[in-house]
Amino acid sequence: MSVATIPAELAPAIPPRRRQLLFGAGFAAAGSAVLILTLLGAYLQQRHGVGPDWLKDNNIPLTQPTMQLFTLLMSMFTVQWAVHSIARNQRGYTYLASLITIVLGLAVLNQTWFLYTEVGLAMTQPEGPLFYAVTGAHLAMLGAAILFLGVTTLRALGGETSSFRPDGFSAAALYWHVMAGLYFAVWLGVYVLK
Amino acid sequence: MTMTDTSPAVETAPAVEQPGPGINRATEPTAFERLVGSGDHRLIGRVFILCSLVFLAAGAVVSALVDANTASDGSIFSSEVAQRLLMNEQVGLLLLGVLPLLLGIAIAVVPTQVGSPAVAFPRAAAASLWTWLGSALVFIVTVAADGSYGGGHLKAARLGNVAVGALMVALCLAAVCVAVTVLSLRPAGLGLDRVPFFAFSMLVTASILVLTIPASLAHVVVGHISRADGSALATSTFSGGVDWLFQPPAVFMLFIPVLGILADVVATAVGDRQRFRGLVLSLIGVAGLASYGAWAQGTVAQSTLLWAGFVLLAGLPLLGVGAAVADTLGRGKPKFMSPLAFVALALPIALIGAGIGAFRVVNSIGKGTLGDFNLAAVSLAQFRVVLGAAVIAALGGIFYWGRQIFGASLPEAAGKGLAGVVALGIALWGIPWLVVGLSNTDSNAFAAIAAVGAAIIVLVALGTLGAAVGPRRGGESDSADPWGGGGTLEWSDGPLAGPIESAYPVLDGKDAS
Repeated sequence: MSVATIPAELAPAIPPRRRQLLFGAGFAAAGSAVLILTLLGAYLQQRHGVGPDWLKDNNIPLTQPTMQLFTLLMSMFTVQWAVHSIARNQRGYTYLASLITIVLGLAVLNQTWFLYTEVGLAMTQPEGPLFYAVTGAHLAMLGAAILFLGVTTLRALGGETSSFRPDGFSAAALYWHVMAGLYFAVWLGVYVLK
Repeated sequence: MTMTDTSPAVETAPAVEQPGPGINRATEPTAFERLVGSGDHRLIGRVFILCSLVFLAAGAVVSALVDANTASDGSIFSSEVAQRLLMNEQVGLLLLGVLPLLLGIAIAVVPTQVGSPAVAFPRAAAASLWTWLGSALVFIVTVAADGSYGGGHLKAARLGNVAVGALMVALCLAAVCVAVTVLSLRPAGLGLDRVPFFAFSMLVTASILVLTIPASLAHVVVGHISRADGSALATSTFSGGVDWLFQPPAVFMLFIPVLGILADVVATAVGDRQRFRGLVLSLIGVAGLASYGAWAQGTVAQSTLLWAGFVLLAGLPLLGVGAAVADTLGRGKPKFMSPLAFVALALPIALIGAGIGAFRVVNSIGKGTLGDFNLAAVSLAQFRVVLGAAVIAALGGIFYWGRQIFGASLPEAAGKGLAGVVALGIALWGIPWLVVGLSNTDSNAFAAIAAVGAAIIVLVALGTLGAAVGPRRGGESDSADPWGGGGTLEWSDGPLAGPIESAYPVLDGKDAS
């Protein structure tokens, strides 16, 4: 009995086209951006209509939103560190960078929750629905970004992601960057120009 | 014998699979479980198409009733109910009827057009289907229960708004699956400039949908969390945040797939390559650009020069692609097939829709001083005509790709008959309201004509459904291409012998042999 060998003249299998996740994440990020920017536009329009009475019964501190902004700025570096590391098969650094990014994201979630209790804005107030719609939509996007990065990291632990297939981290990072960029618009429109 | 040889015993073994020891037949998935759990793009596309045809017929029934009510001076419903049905009819026709119909065709056909065995993110595609279907049923129930926009029942009104939001999310998800399929699942050699026109048009449509629908979804979200009742949902969420989807330029996104189906069908009918291919692709891109309407949500935006530019631009691709396909038709001997009849009728109806847009632009520039028009009637006519053009093209697509979608060609005679009937129905459904709008006359008689048009659309939707699920015609060839002139990948009998070097690899193979 002889052992079969693969003939050398056979063409190598064409590797699957990559970037599927990256394109998908790009579309998801674009859709989320349109949603949040539209909400922000509606918020600004209503605030303009109400005039100086807008949020006169509430005090929105700037400390927490600005801390959140800088936290997200740091997380943009760490998530890119994860992409850089997986592209070089430095798995330890990849896990570390992802973990730090997720912790920073959770810190922003926590601080937003604290901010909500500080502001004490009721849904029955005229500012309530749009304030919570804008900030809540961004919070949901942050949650989705954390989940996306977490699942990608777990899949990397299972060996599905490597320098040969880094798409998962690139896609999660793309979504993360768009989320952080949108926070800048929310920070400026809702918290700074209040 | 080598280790990789198959033993003769195995070769002659019966093909019927027997359950092995320990395998219980009762644990095998049932037909329902296979349907719900399937990621097969053809199955997902089929369910999208069949259900959207049913919903299209239901929407047309509501439309017929509303028009009949107008014709009979409100003898069927009160004016409040008629207004509520009119609002929800438009939502239903777009989100339950036409958009899912086009996306369903795309999910079933686009992977085969780009040479992929599956759609991108098949589980997401399945999730989009079932979310859409569930939300559609909830929406219909809420409308029937005096809910949704303008409804008097508080909980049903809010639930209807949530269902609309879920419909939007589901359609965006389906659009992402289609767009990513075109972008990343193409084989080597099939560049974006070589994909079939329909696949390219759906890439553009899906991109525009993803950038447009969330802008409307934002208002749906605000409407929900502000705990608005039915009338507040009608005045704020619908009038301020949803109805711009039915106005130009956003509604012109329905033109994009019309162009794709038109160009593909004409090339196959002639059995040759579409001339001016680059121009046609560019014009499809222009159609996408001109139909981006998320920026024009308010009435203020809809009276600006930018809005006028967008609306006027939307007619250009129709004229350009029309000229290109006419040139292709003129240079060959087109085979008279039912899809050609559909698209040949869809184009002039789409041009009427674009023409109404041009009229609105001129009237807007003249600040309404051109005459005493009923602009609400003109707007309704435009929505119906544009939507109708997309319906005609989509039905043409179903007959054109019947073999790819349903496994066998749909009856040609039925297709040829339905093409003329649906065009008549659309004309009767929309044009009378244009006459009412322009002449500002009493609408009773015209509404009666429009009701007849809607009834014809019901019959056509059900007729197409019957042709799709009914018995297939016999005696057809075994070839994957029943038209004999298909040149793109979906018409290939099997794997291609060589690399892809043009936009028409199947025609290349025929030429070589």
